[in-house]
Amino acid sequence: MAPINTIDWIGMVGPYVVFFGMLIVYYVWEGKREQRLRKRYTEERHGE
Amino acid sequence: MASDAIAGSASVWVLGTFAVYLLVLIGIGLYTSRFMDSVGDYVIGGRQIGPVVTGFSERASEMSGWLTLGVPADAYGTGIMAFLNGLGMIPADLFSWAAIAKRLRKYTELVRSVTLPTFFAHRLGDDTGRVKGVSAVVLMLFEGGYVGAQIVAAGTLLQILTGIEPLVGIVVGGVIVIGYTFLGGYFAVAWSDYFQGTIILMAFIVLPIIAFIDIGLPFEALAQNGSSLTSITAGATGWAAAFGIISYAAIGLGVPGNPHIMVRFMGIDRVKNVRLAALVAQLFMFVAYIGAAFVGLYALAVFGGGTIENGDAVMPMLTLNLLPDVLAGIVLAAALAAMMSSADSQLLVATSAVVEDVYHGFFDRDATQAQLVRYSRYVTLGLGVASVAFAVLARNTPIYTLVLDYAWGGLGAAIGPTIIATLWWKRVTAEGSIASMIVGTVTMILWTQLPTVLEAVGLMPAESAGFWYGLVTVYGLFPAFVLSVLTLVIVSLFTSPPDGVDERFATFDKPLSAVLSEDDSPEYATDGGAVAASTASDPKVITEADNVRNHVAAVAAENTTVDAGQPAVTGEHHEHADLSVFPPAITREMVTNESTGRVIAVAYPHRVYETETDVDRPFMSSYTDDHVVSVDCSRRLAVRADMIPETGGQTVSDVIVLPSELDQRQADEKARSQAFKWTLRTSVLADVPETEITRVVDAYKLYWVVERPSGAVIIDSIQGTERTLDGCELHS
Repeated sequence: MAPINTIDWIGMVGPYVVFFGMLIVYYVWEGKREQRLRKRYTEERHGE
Repeated sequence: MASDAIAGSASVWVLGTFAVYLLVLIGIGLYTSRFMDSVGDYVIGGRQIGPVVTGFSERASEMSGWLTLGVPADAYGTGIMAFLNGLGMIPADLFSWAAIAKRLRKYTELVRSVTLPTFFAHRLGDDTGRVKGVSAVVLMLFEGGYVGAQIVAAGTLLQILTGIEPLVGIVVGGVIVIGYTFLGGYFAVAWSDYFQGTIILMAFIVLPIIAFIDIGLPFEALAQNGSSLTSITAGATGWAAAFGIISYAAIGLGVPGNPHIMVRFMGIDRVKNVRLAALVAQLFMFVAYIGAAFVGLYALAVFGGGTIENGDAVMPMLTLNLLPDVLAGIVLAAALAAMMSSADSQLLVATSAVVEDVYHGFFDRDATQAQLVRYSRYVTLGLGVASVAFAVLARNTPIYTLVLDYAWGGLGAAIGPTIIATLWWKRVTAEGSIASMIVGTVTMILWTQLPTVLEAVGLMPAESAGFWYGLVTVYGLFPAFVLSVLTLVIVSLFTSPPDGVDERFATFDKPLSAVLSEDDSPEYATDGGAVAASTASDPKVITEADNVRNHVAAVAAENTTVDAGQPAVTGEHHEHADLSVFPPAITREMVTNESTGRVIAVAYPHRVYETETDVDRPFMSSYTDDHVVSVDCSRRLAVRADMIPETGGQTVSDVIVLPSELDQRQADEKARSQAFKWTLRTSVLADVPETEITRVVDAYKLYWVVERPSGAVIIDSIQGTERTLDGCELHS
């Protein structure tokens, strides 16, 4: 018998997989957000 | 017993390397301290810390005690459920990077705060000292808990290496920590945390790999030691399992309230680095949490379950067992150095909270420097001794629990909700924040003792009671955080928030680059040094925009230039004035194009000092703490600068020259007083240090008042930051 059943495997590995996905989403989203803010700020600043 | 087989039998190579590593570290620390400005410069590093170091050190500051010894011990005791230590921590850390880091960085830049108590006081508009006082007491209590836990950890390491009694190990560990702090904390040089953190992280990678090569995955061995060890709920079901998982997840609630993490956020240098630093910190966490859990699991596989009485010993024991002697000595020495470095800075944080924020800020605003120096020594010693006593009393409590219950959780419940609210909720009030801190602290302390108390009075629910048993034994941070948040919201809604919050929140919607300088090293950057709070000349206002508003008189004066319908800026208006100025990075021409009206210059008188503070150290040669203090003579503020800027004579047109509100003697005194405070925060001083002013530069800093379609703004000509001037309109 396998020492760890499927649910325990999922409980052990699952959160880290999800968190890794969240990290990638954050990294991409934060970059775009900063770009967007910078663009909007530049436009406001120059009254365009 | 397996522990006896190893404890105290570390080979001469291990002990030799251990000793040599520590001696080399002290030597390097002593040598480099002659060239470094101060340990304090590292605290937020003049906001010049790069992304990798920022991200790494944000996490490495936790490598001492809890993660190094505590999490492996947890894994040794509970099995694979220890992987859930990352369940709350990793997403909470990501949330903090995403939702707190930039806002905190922007806001603390604006109000020039370097410590959380001063940030809270500014943001909540509290000039009574209550917010500062309560947050300082919270810091003192729980940073003291941290010091106690580090001392237990240091004692455990010494015990494993030399075989001395645990009690002796703790007392020796405590003496080392206190002595080390009094000697000046030589390990706390810039690269130290980073360096120790790297070594321990490498150990968490290498130890499981070596063990894997030897015995494969540990799960088979775990199953032989008990089926609960291979269960993600440690064999619990129903409510017990649910509350177990909640407890692990709730650890993450502590992230926003722990100052050593928030301080890293304040120190970030550039906009794009926030994202990269977050990435580094998160990857660090993945490796550290998985590695630490595997170290505990492999200890189970190698030594067998239940054979090691003190779970905190499993990491050093596995290190001694698997690594070559020399490497084991280095890893364990790095762990001890990291613990001492953390304990040293935690002891100093607690000391400055007591002496500066509570005593000086609250009870005796006229305390002399000699008194502050003397009391700092007493308080450091007193808190150190109290921490040793706490460590002795709690020596049988696992380090894991000690940190979570008496340090991490308390800070998380008391400070965390206020941090989040001050950055995200305009309605939060000083009263709400104070109530939340008190409720968070009290709940955390009481909940931790709840099972013991209920047991004593015979009211402890039986394990079979499911929900009630789970609730009583759940990690206290969960209920404490919830109650702290509820208190903060309810009390805030019944009280009035400070004025001017809208404007400051508007800053959050700008890119960080609009608030910070775009340059790598701005010519004249201030790092947000603590505002000088001399009673003789208290800082007048917080921001330049506030200052201009303060100069807007009720009656239009003859030399009116800025007009909001009726009011006008006082100060002397000149069509042309020959001034010594800090050359603007943002020139008048650059802002003229974007103005719909005329651009007016406002000149702020500054005196910038280069100071040398001689610090005597017991048993060691004295060292010199160099500072550059920039005194804004109009606002009566003293802040830290990176360097004395260049100055040059210029003819400035259409300029309002603001008057100095400090004479030369007062400005000198303010600079000396500020240099003293910075030094006091970073060292235990033997005597009042002499501060010599080695250079002074007088010059004006220019601000441009520019009219835009959306309203007037005032632009810092050096850093390019800008603030709105509500209600002011310029006449062309």
